[in-house]
Amino acid sequence: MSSSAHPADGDLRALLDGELPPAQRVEVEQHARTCAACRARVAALESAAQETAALLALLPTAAPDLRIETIVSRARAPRLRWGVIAAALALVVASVAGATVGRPYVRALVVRIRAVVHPESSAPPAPSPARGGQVGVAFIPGPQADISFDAPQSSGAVYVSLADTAKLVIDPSAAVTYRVHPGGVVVHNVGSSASYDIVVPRNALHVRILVAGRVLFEKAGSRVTAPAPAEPTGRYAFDVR
Amino acid sequence: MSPESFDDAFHALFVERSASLYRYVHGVSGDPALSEDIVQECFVKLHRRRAMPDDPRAWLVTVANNLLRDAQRRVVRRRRLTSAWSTDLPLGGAAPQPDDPALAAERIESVRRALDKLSLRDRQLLLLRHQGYRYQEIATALELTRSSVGTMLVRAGEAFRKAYHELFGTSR
Repeated sequence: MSSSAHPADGDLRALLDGELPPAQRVEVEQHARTCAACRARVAALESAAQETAALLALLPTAAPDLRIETIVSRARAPRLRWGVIAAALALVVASVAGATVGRPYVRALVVRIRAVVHPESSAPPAPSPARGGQVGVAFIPGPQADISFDAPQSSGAVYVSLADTAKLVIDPSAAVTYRVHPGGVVVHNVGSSASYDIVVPRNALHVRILVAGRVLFEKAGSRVTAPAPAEPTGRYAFDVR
Repeated sequence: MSPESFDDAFHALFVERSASLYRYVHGVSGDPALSEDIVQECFVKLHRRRAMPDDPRAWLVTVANNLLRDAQRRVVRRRRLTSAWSTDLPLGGAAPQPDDPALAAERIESVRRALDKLSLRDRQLLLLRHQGYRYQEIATALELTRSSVGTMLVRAGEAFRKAYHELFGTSR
């Protein structure tokens, strides 16, 4: 802009907003000092901007109580990935083919795909021996999945969240051992004081959490029974007792 | 960035920006539930990223705009269903008082409808600036040049005020 040319409205608006680069700001301010038309234009733009702001201020300003815990929990929940979906579909197809044809290479393929779908569980799904202490376990629940704790704990809690995921995840605060079987998982927790974050797939048909054979939590379809109502975040919390 | 410093930065950004991002998204969409979902999803995506973008505030707006675009068709359909709302206000009778709740509601509805008459770009510009975003952040989020933001704000403001006065009238 030469000193005699009038600044564009956009530059005057940027000047009002304090957004003009320093060198340009000096130039525009110098021009406006000697140009009554530009001073009037600046006043008009300021008035218009204030009216716009006043009108927009009429819109509702109350934001909902967004909770960072909910966001972090959602971010950490395992996601259903297309690879797993594709592998699961392939498993169904290959299982049918395997049962029908029974050729060795088809059976081998079924075992390999199963390892993708159930990476943490043993395949074939026969009862497996207890493994060494491990941090967590994840598996795709069948029509009914029981999470059975061997014993009550003097301390430690279970936190259950429902999520749009495929896998049921048990994430303890300290390593325990598990035995995964077709009907769920046994948690060998004798002497442990761990707490457990458990993510249950929202579409799981029937999931129970038992401590020494006593049912503490049950999800049957969309109906949930728990020792205490869900927290505001939707999470259920109860002791391992 | 270490996990601890990411978590600290994430927490600070959430505290600083979640409410204003919500108000921006709500201003663009007019849908509180959708806005809450979108803001949550923005922060979920950021948390999964486990690294701060170069311009986190602009990044959040870009993600929100992408989610808004995905939802736009549903929002338009929903708003068509509720567009008769202001005609349900009492008609005739005594002249409205300045603090008349019906008049206040009509004024707010006129602001909402005036925004809806704007192009999506103009609506985004006005609402981002109204929420205190800087020109560079607006330029990054809307893929504009920084030097064009002032001019576009002037034009968007003119279009908005014109639409508002057509809807609400200037004689009241």
